[in-house]
Amino acid sequence: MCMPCQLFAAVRTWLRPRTTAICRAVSRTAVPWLSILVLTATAIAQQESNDLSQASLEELTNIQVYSASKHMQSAIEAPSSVTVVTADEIQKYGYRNLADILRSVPGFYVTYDRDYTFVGVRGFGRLGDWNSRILVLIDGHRINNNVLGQAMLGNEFLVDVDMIERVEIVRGPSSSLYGASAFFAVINVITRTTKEVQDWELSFQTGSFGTNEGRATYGHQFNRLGVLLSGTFYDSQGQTLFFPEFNHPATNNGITSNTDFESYKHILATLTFQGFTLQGLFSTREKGVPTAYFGAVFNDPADLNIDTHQYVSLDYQHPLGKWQLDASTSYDQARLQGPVPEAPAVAGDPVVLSTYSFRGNWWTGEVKVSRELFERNRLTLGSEVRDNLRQDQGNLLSPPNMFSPEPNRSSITAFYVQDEYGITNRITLNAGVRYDHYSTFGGTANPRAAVIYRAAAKTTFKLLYGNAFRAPDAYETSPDFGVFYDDNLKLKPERIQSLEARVDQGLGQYFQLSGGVYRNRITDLISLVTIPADQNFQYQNAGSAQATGMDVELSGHATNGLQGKASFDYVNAYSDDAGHPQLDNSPRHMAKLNLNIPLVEQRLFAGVEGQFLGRRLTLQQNSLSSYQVFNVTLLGHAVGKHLDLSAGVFNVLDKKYFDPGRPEDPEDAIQQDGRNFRIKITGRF
Amino acid sequence: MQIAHRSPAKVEGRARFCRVPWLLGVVLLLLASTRAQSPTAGEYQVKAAFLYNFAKFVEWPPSSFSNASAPLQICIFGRDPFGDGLRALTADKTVNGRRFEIDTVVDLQHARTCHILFIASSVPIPVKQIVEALGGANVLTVGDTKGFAEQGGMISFVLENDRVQFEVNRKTAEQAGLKISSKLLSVAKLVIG
Repeated sequence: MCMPCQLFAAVRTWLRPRTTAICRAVSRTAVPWLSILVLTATAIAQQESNDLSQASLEELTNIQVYSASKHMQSAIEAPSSVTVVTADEIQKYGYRNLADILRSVPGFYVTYDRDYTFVGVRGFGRLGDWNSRILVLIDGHRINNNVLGQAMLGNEFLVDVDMIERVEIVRGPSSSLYGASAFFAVINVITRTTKEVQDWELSFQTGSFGTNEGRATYGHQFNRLGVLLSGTFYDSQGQTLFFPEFNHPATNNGITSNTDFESYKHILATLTFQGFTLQGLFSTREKGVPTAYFGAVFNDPADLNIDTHQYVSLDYQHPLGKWQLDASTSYDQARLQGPVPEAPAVAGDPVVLSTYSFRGNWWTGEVKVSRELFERNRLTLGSEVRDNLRQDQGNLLSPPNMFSPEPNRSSITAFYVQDEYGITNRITLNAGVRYDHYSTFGGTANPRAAVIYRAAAKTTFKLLYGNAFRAPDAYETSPDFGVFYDDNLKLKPERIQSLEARVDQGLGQYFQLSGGVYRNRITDLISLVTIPADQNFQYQNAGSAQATGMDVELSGHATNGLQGKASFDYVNAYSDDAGHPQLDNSPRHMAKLNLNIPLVEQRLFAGVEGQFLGRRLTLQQNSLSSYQVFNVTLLGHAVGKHLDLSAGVFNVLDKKYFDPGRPEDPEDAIQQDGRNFRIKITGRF
Repeated sequence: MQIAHRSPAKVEGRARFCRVPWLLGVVLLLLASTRAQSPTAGEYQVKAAFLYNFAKFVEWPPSSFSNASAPLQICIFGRDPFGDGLRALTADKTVNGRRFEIDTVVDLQHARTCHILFIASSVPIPVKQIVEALGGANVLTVGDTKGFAEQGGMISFVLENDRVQFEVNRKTAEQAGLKISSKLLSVAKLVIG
């Protein structure tokens, strides 16, 4: 056979068994990317170069504009990697809660165990943790509770997603400004004000799994007083689920019904008067737990969690001479009641209901002043005090109905300073440090520095360095899960050191490219460890991990309203233990795509979303295969802007995919929802 | 805490057909080929066109120009949001025989020689201070924030229903020796003074 023929035959032999795999790989990765490239190219091709110098004054006042996002502008100038998701995008992509929003953000991935939603950032999403390495704020108010440090993200989040004006997601360590929990990211949820809500808004949704949701909102700006009131209720029957781990006749052959129910209520009230803002929030959520975690009896609807969180906060902003003053104080209360039905000691006896609960109360006061010291130099000074009045955990054994909380309290005092200096026209230096003093473990100082270099009109380089910490939470220093758990009052905070380099480049008039590489070093990780002496469990600072990664995001919008973004993440996250094993629940690759197409100008929009998540390891070191999920939402405006109709289909391709189970789950992997839909109607009067 | 027995089986999701994502792509392509109807443009493209028009419809005292062929200076104070837009638009245009010159200023003292001063929204200096610093100079101050004209500026851009409108403070313009044509006033959304 001739040489080229041999080569050709060899290639064909190699190719033949791999065609399916290649076809799959190409369609998985290439199609979303090709689609967005072709679409945006088409959109660009349709641009008539507008020569507005010929337009008359009247014509100019009639041109529809797509405002250059001032958030995008500020994101480019910020000393971190920032993503902003606006209310407009929330409606156009049909996001149902904060977790849906985070699913579309580069660097984030979400895990749901049919109870709470947990998030991983940049390759770190350790199973068993409580979202305590991200700080979630509502209008600048910290909502991570003070017992588990948990940030609520899914349906358990405290605010109706339709009351969100925008979400600012800052990736990277931000303890230099915010203190504890600002380890991997800070998520600031900014709620709508009377500027955005005019009088009445009523909304109703219905969807799969017997889900109904209703909202009533009233907003009005009286002469100087702004009033915003909103109430939401949600109720869902949930699904009948099958867990192969329980596939025995004794446990109903693995089928569980009426255990996936969920209901919640939110009330949000915001009053604004001159520089004052008074906000009150009440949220309660009940969720059935179908996974039979913590050794619970399978298929028992008594297995549930009730979370409540209420707060009142008062904020005052006013110029004070040359300084801008921002003072705030707030009081929070968070409760959990989590009954777990356990098999009785003697067969035939009634089920024993063991209820782990906690009660957290805390008070916060913060003062911040900032001013321009001299030209192009802005100084910010701040101080925060937090008194954890209650951090009680308890267990209610039924019978004999005794609740004995293990009381706990602590307090924190902090000072921080940040300076932003435009050294030259093109270079800005941003540096800050915060010192926190905890009554439990003492003090910790966390600095951050960033250099921002505007190389050209459309090119910005950033170099970012920062330290952050996560304070040990009450359930780690004094766990109250039973006699086999020991306290560890000597727990130190976890630390992260992060270095990141980024470039932001404007491409043409309609595109923006943002890319970065980063390296995170995490030390003093708090993990549950078995004490050799008495075989008890204890939380200790044991372990460290590293993550090196890169991300790239292309975003753009055409003047006809077509807009979208596509991102790709790669991260290698591993533990420093012998052999550098890969971390559990850590995907190496992620890709996301969002595309919004105006079908009928200003009236009908189609939002398409695709998310690809790479392989992850479960706790049992099994490999969960990668998956991609697509969502489509149609949003229509009728009667001017008075009526909105939205229809969304989630997991359009009905992909069967799994998230890893947590340590308390008997399941190594938990199947996620198949194709489901939601219809929403909103009226504005 | 009891830990139940877990099966060690490998877990995999089922792969879906190759075809469907392609179909999605084709559908999106078809949808994208619908053309938009009404005129649309970038926000700062439109504002640049307005600045060009302000130069056409405002009269400066002859003393504000060094001679008959001195250019009309448009200055930008703060973070420039126009990109190349303003320069491109005014590159080959003239108003009353004068060409345009686009500059950025970093301090208000230098802005006194400008004819139009655009104050970007990034500038944290209060309007009153800006007006004080420019006191007596024949500068048309244009601001990018609502309320700029009410607080002492001369023209402020306002976004309403995704359209750029503007408000004029006739009093402060007159105090600076500027004469605003009634044509411009008639198109303004709001005229103060």
